[in-house]
Amino acid sequence: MKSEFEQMVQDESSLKTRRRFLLGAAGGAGAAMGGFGFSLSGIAAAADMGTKATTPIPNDYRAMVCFFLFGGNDAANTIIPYDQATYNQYIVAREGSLSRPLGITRLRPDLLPITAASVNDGRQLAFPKEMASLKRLYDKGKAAVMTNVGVLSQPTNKTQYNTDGFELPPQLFSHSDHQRFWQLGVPNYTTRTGWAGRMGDLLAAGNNSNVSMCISVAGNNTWQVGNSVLPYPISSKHGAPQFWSSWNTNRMTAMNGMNLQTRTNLLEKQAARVYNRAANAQIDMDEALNFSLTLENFFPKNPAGFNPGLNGAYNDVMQQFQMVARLIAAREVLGHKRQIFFVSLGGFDNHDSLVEHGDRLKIVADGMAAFYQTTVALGIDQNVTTFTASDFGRPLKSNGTGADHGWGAHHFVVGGSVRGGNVYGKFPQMIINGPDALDNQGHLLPSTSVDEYAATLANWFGVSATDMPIVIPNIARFAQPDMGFMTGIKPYPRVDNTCVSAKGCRPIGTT
Amino acid sequence: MAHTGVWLHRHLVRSCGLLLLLSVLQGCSSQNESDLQKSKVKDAASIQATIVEKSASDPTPEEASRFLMQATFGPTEAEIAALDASSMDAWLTSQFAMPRQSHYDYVWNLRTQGVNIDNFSNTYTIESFWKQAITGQDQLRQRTTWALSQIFVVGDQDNARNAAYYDLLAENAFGNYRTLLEQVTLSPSMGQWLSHIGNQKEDLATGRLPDENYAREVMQLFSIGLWELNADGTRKLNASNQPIPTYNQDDIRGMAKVLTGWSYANCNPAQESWYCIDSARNGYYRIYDNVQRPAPLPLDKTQVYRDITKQMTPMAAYHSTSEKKIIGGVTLPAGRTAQQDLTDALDTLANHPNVGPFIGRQLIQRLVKSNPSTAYVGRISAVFANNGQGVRGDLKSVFKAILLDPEARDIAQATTTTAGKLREPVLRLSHYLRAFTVPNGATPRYDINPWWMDEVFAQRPMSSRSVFNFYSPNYTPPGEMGANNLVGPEFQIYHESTLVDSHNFIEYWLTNDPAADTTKLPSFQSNHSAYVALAGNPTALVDKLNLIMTSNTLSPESRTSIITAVTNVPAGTNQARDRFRMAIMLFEISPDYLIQK
Repeated sequence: MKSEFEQMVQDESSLKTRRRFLLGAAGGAGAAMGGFGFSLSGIAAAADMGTKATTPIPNDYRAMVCFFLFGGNDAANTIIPYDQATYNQYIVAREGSLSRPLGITRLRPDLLPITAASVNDGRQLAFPKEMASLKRLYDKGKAAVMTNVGVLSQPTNKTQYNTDGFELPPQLFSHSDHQRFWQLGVPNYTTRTGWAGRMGDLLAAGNNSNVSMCISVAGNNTWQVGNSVLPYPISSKHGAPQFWSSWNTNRMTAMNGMNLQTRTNLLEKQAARVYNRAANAQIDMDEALNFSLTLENFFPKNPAGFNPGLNGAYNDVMQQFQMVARLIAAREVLGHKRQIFFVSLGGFDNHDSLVEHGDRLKIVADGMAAFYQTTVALGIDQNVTTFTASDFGRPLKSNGTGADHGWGAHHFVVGGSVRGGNVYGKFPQMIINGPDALDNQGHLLPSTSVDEYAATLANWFGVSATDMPIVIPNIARFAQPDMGFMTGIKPYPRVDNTCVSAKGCRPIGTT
Repeated sequence: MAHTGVWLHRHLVRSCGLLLLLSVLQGCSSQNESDLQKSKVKDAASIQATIVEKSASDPTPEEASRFLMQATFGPTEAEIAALDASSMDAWLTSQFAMPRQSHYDYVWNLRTQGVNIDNFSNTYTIESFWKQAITGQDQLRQRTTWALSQIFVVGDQDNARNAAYYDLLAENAFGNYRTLLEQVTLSPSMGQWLSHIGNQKEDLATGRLPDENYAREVMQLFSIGLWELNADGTRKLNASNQPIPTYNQDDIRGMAKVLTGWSYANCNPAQESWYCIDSARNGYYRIYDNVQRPAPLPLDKTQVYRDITKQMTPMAAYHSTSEKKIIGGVTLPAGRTAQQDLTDALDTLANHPNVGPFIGRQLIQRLVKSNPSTAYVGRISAVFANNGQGVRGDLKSVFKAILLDPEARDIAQATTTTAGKLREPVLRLSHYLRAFTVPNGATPRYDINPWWMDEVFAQRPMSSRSVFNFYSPNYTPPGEMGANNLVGPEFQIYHESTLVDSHNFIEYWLTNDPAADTTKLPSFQSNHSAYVALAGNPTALVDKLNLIMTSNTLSPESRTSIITAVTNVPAGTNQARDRFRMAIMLFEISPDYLIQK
């Protein structure tokens, strides 16, 4: 009978054996691994950064989660005026008259009014009823609204917008370009890294892991690409998939060998790099997920009374957040002091079918709320911030059953360190051709730039003020590098919440 | 084997030619007189042309294999041999003449047999897709249609719509771009996907504006792209050295007005055009109410009839009759019909100089390589502009030019540092199934689970989640490729998770053989005895597979790795079979194979 210690040593040893063969038999193969293989430029960039970076090496834990709503969320139907006068403005702007002939607007009884100290001009705002779970977090001060954010090259007013030669982001209102600019954190075509990746470059020294701090449960993206840090796309269902043949040392030796050999074709080299990154990370990822809680009871599935056509999307988002929560729970096994996650939901390109939009917003709200509750249960809510992003908002004016591509949009930030229960930025006048709308279509001119929104989050994440231009290159052009929706962080770990078992926790959706 | 000598001879001839070409380009001659230079360059060009001509007219087995990787859903031994004995010209000619099989007929036939195809998404259309991709003789049409479907993208709708739409692409694959563009535009499938079916003219009372969805994407994705291009695909620059957008928001609004007043084919505008428009717009449809129904039927107010697979028809009352300004300073005068406006607007798009380089580059990317030279794009643009008989937009000539271009044909091009493209998951699976299996049973099904394809491939035919396809033609993998300004579209869906999952999925088909195990899915059975028979000689086995898998471009190191692993498969009852499986799975994961060069 082996002692527990002996067993542990043996397990550890077999794990190492397994890792060694996965990584290739030769000693020092790691140095040739994909994670580092292309990093000639990465190392150069990091060294370059080293001379000027002032961001301290993290000694506490923080996680940031981007929830990207692909297609351009119709923000005008997401945060809706509630006081009668402004509600009427909203109806007239979208429908043309108070009679609501087109039916793309929300009925007032279907709205959940909120209080917002910052909106002190008599207007009151509301969430749609489908976002009740998120509204509860707002009321409890755990969720904030950032209004009328968009991609900008510099602060822009309506006159400047109409001035020839005034620098605006290129290809306004194009999906692919707006998505890219949001994720780059700068509206140009020369930057190749995203603002999360650049944060990762600055903060990676705090991690000790084979697993990238930038993990995506929603495929490849630009946001998490740094000079040395790269996105690690995993499956939201089963994390890092394993080769069925991973038991077969003969086959794995050949696989590793072919992917480690010297090559000249740059596409072949890239394919090998992806393989090597997978091999490099999958054992640690597997180990972390084996260790971690499954947390499945925290994430509702197939909600009652929901559009059955969207159940798949609902469950998928829950699964993505569940996987993120599991990796947060496993942060110490992974050796992560900083984690950056990418989660997404599509279907927001509501040129038509805006009637379905409310159900899609329920997915957004329930996903963020369930995830937040899980972080509370894990005692880590202060250290985790989730925010939404999207291509763009949509203009006020209806095209009959939806609205086309727009610009400024409202977004949500959720977490224990969010200064919640308030609306940040300047809520626009919902008037066609009004002060905040560019034209008779009602394209909203953003009053806050993505740069300011992102810099506020980056600041909380630990990027120093002097390094902020590395993360957000144009931040100096804008008035508010910190929009104020984040507080400082309380000491970690918290001891006041021991709810790590689903059995002992309140069900999601109760208060 | 008899080929080896011939191949060696040809190979040597080609190498000499290339050496000569190189020495000319490097200016090795001491005589600098420009006329002499010119004549030498011309010689070099003509030598290269000769090489390519020779390859096209009398291909070696590896040249045949390489060509079939670009032009089909994967080479088979038989087709390599047939092409080797023939010429690429003859092959293309025979392919262009082959009749098209209808996907719509396939799903309709299932329905008449009592299969409930109505309540599913496009599952059965994808079954038909696989049937044609794997067993169709008209491989060129299959592959080019697959390429077109990744430009003129629609997502998962339902079996009838997706089948009819894919048929439309296949029908036009060897036709004219202008016709294709109009048929795509007026397809009710596209109409629903990009919401221009039921799109109404502006309403001055409410301020409602026409839907801009299709107006924008037809320009951004289906015709001219975002930036003014030179014929070689590079961006034009203005006086301040900045790229020039092809259109602005006003052009989109004009185009949106053009695309108003279209609805389902058999709606009766004289009686109830409001129903036709409103029900289309709001998606109140009963998909199969009207499939293959003889038109016209009386309109029933409780059950709106329409034909969801036939070209949309105009509803005059809902078409904007105001003046429309579209791209290029073109103004369409007020008071014209929906069809007149559409004809002029699509003419304007199709005649825009961007179309050749914009569409041509993407077709090259789908068939041959991710990073074609500007000269290659330029040559394809020229053929797009004029097929030699004064016809613009002749896709047959465009595909032929893409496949017979020196950059596609000269086998020396396979060894450059930027050669090739990542094989997308659909091509990897089709290649495996075509080369090493046959459909199982008398009435075989092609039931490759589409949900698995979503999950393990991130790619399911006709099921992209957005009109931006599974990947962007400009996706740049971070790192060395980006630093070298290379794109790798397919890398967008090839990452740490999908690479492992998709590899396992191929293994599933390799090991899931109903001929050997009756409990397995009755889809495909193995057809690899010729390879298994070689298992006693691992080197011979790997060398035989090399031709069909990589056109004999496997690197010596990879070859050694695979031969060693195959040799090391332990003795036992299934050693021969397992050696074959070992070899296949190692080819599958080798960068040599993953990059189609």
